[in-house]
Amino acid sequence: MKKKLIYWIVFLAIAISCISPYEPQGIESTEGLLVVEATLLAPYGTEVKLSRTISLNDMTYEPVSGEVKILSDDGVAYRLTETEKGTYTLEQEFVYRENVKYALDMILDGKHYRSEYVEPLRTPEVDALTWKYNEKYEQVDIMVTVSNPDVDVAYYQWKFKENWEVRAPNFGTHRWDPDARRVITNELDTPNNRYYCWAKDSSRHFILGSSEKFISTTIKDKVINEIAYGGSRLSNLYHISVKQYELDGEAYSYFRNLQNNVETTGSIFAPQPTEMKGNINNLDNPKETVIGFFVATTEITIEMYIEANEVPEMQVRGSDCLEVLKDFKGPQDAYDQGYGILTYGIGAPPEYMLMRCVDCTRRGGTKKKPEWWPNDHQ
Amino acid sequence: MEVKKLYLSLILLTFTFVGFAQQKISLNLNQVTAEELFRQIEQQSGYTIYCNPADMDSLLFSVQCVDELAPQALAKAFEGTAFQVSVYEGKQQLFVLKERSLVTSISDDYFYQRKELERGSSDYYLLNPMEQKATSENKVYTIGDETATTLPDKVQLTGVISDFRTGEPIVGAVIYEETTMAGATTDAYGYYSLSLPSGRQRLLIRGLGLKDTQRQVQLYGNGKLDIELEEEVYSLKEVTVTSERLARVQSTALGVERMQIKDIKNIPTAFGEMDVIKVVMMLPGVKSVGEASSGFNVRGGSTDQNLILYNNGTIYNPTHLFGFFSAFNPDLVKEIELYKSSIPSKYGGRISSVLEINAREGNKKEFTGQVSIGLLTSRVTLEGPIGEKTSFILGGRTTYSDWILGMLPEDSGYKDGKAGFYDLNAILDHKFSDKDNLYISGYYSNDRFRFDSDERYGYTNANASAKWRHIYNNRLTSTMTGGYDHYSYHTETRENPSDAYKLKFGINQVYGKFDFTSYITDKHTLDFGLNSTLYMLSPGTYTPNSDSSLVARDQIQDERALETSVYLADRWEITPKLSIDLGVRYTMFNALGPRTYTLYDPNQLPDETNGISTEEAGDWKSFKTYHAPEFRLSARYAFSSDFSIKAGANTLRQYIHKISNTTVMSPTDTWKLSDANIKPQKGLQVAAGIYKNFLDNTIETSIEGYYKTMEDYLDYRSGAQLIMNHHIETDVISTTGRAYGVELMLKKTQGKLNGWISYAYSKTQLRQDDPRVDDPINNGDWYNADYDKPHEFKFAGNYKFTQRYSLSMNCDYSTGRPITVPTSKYQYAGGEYVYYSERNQYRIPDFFRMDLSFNIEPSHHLTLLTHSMISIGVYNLTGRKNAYSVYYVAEGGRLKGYKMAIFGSPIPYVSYNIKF
Repeated sequence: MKKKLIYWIVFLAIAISCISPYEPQGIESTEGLLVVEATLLAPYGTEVKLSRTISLNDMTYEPVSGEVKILSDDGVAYRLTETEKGTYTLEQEFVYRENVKYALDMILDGKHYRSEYVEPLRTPEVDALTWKYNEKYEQVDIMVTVSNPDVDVAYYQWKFKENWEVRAPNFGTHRWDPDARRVITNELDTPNNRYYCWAKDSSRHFILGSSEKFISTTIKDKVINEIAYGGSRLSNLYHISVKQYELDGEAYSYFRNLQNNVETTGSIFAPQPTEMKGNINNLDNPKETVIGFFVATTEITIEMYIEANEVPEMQVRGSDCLEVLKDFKGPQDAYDQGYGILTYGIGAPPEYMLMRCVDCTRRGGTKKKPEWWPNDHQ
Repeated sequence: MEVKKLYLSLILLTFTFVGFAQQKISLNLNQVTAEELFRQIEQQSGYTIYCNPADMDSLLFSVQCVDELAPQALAKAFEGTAFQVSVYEGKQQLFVLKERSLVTSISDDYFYQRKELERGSSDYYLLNPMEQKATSENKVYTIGDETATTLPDKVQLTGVISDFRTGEPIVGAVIYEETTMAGATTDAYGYYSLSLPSGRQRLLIRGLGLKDTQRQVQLYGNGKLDIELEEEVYSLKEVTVTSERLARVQSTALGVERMQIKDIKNIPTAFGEMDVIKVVMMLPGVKSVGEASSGFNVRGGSTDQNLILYNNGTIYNPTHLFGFFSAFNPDLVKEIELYKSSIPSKYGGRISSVLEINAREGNKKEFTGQVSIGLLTSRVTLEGPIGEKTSFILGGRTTYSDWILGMLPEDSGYKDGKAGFYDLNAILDHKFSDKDNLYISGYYSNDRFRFDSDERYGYTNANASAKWRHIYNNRLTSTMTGGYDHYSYHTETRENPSDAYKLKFGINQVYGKFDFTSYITDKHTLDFGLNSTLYMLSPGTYTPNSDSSLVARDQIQDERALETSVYLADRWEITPKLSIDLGVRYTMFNALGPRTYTLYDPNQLPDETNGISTEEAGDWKSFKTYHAPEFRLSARYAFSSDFSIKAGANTLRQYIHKISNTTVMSPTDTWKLSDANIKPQKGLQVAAGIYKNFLDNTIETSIEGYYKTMEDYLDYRSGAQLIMNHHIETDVISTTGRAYGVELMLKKTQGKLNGWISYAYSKTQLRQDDPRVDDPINNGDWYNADYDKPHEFKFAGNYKFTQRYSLSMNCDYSTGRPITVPTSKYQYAGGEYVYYSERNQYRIPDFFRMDLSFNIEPSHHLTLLTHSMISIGVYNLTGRKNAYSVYYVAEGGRLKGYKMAIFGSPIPYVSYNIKF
């Protein structure tokens, strides 16, 4: 609620103000702080990612390695294996036992870290995953409805993964291969074409919801993702897989603060950013800052498809993929200037179009089709 | 009768001048003729003797006298005869007439009639009503009972100084007697009370913008003299106006800035709108966090520590449209007074400053009006008399700034937004008699914003007050005020019917004040009185805003409190050079029920988990009382009339707090009264200053230094939820603050170039020193407050080329304010996040802005039906993009740094003002 309030104030300011890129100078960097992203899930899916903070000017993140365990307060320890540098998972199936709390325990660079013991939470099923065309903002809103009868106040976190088929606006019968330096025929029944591609993405921020202000734990039609007009997601077929997690109040406050710190800080009425304390501590030095909050919960997955023809309003219109050009010296010349072949054959001069109008790889797609994709496009 | 008429032309003055040099003569004459007698007397004394020679040519005179006055000698000679001797002292003439005496002066009763009251009373004598207003510089006005046998040593002269043209009282005029330097300044009602030696006196009167003038008085006893002054209009010569400057050097108060509306009108501001609050921010010691800030900070105090009074009503939100416009219609404002340091004992309830804005009274002589049209707002004012004793003013102002929103880009989604405000003022002033005056004021303002048919936001200020002023006698006056104040805001959304909500907040105050001023002796002036305010605050109501909304209705308990104070202050003139002002104010604050509240374990910070008991307070029962005295002391030593030093110390307390975690006064800030868990804020300020005027009081300079401490200032905890929090005491922490600084100012208020330059150095720091806090900000060390700007330089100037054309410019430079910036970044949940430094460790780039405006008055004829004024200017002339804030935003999972400026380019404007 406050987010919207603040955004419109920012936009008022734009009319007569300037928002310009800026890099503050002389900042004393606080790099090297330990960052722990840890979620304990049952039966599968537990993941712990360890890294460190880097200076604002750096670009690469260095993962951290060490010994990572899950402890239960009745004395059992479960070791996690490092599947990738800095990423740890629990290979075997994991079951929450009655009245048992769990903690994260790590030994990194000779320092011993442990989180508080948390009670596992049970995530309810998603009541509905729906979508709606939002006329005002010309976007598709993807919404979730959920309720949790087991608690008084429910807190949720969502993550999603998107996969979609990218279809080029026009089918080019041939294409120029710059390595082989010849014209290749595009075949629709094999992967050897540039008409069908696939792209994917996943959520890159905290998506949180709370039922604090509501009469019950039901959250209805919470928008968790927006598909903006002009992209390629709804060019043919779109799939989203949403994972839902139940959180407790402390974890929710912590994550919401992290999200606010990168979302609302610019506007005139922004609250002062502050750092909250997570629940993981260095046992020898409790004053050491450790970023992250250990959560024990379960994961509920729900998915859906949206077909392009269900949302005709989102089809990209008025684009310049209608212009056909003919005057190039040859396919190579056209390629060098950023144009691809539309038709090529004996009898008529070749026709060319902007590369992204005939080549789906120029629209963010790759030829990597997910095995489970429900059609036989190649 | 004929004689009277005959000699009328010879009479110039009604006063007889005693003390004329008189010659003494000696005669020794025996049987001489009249001619010889006259010749002897004339020769010796210098008198001229007139007679009808035909009457006396047969007479012979014998007279002996030694060292006699000539009239007496002549009278002796004619003793026993039918002739009478009349004297005309002024001309040294003697008349000898048969059986008649010559009247050589007009009877005292000739010009006026006096009512005689009983002797020995110290009451004043009523002059003929025609003579009430002393308008002549040359006429000598008699005060007191002329026939009294003894003259008192000192006489108390009181009266009202008003404007000749409109009848409005003139504030801040100085009336003084040159030789004894006995002087007084008129108060808010134009009233002065002056103690003078009896006898003939010449009083000089100076008032800002008025013709310097004098009045001649003959003082026999205590009395009243009302004076009407003419406005100084269109004089091209330099005017020596010294009242303001004398007032600053002479008064005991430190850190006081007084400005009349004339000073305010020429300062250029954004969009050409005259803005009282923006002018206040140009004064040294007053800062704001940024251009869109609706609050201001005085000497290191936070925005809720300023008591803003408009005609005695408390204003909680002094601006419209997020700080771009002030809530006060400049056509109605008479003057503003900002007390930064010495806060008079009659004010209390806030610990940093008092900003008093007083509106005018209506024109008592004729019906007039003003219309002003600007780029974004327009206003209309109408005023005039109703009958002989009453006057009114009505003012209204509104905006049509929707057009600027129409200029927003289409894809911002807010192109169809609406933002507007309006405010209305109504003032009625009625004079029952010379002793009683009633002033009624009403004010209403409303702001509403609607951006995309979803978010709506609005707030309202409403105030009503009635003030009755009574003069008991020439030494005691009183003002009784009662009123009601209201402030409320609401925000609502409708876009998503499932979570559509409405949030409301409101505060109401009812108050009564009794203020007395007693001029007990000429060395002591006492101010004393009683104030009481009843607060009724609704901290928040959260309700569903659509039929299908799942929002649960929630309401935070109403808060009520009664704040009562008594005060006594004495302005004591120990010697003419040294005077001190001592005041004590005792306040009692009672938090009243009904309320259900929690008491917490005192060894820990209040938290949801460590409450020990829940208490209930009954309806209107006091469940928590705070009471304490506050001291207000200041002293002035005047080396001469234009050079003085002052020092002062004040303690203050505040019982209402703004709870906010934003840097500026945000629309959704909530206020809270002290109660069982929230203690009052306490402030202490000590200050000292040197004040010197140069060049015959045309240039004022001052240096003031101060040191302030604040205790129990409320700051919020990390991740605090401040809206709709039923236990807000668990999300706030008591903080200590300190501020110190030096302000230098140079002001020139006359001549072609006028204005001021000031430089201030100041530091404001806060510290969380509550030992119960686990992880205090900055490890419990002092950290910079949000509005700590060490260096600040301000210039406001106006140059009059001619009376019609003038150029105004202001410059404002200050160090960038402190901010909390990210100091590192990391990955989490698939995106990039930042880690922030300790609070306020860094600063945004320095702030500099220069504005220019050109003012044209097309015509200056006094008799034209309308007068107009055009103002053209540029705001932010250099176009500097003054950073308001620096921040990082995650876009597509990657962080980008941005700097936001409010006014990023020069903004030209035009405004047109008509007065009829």
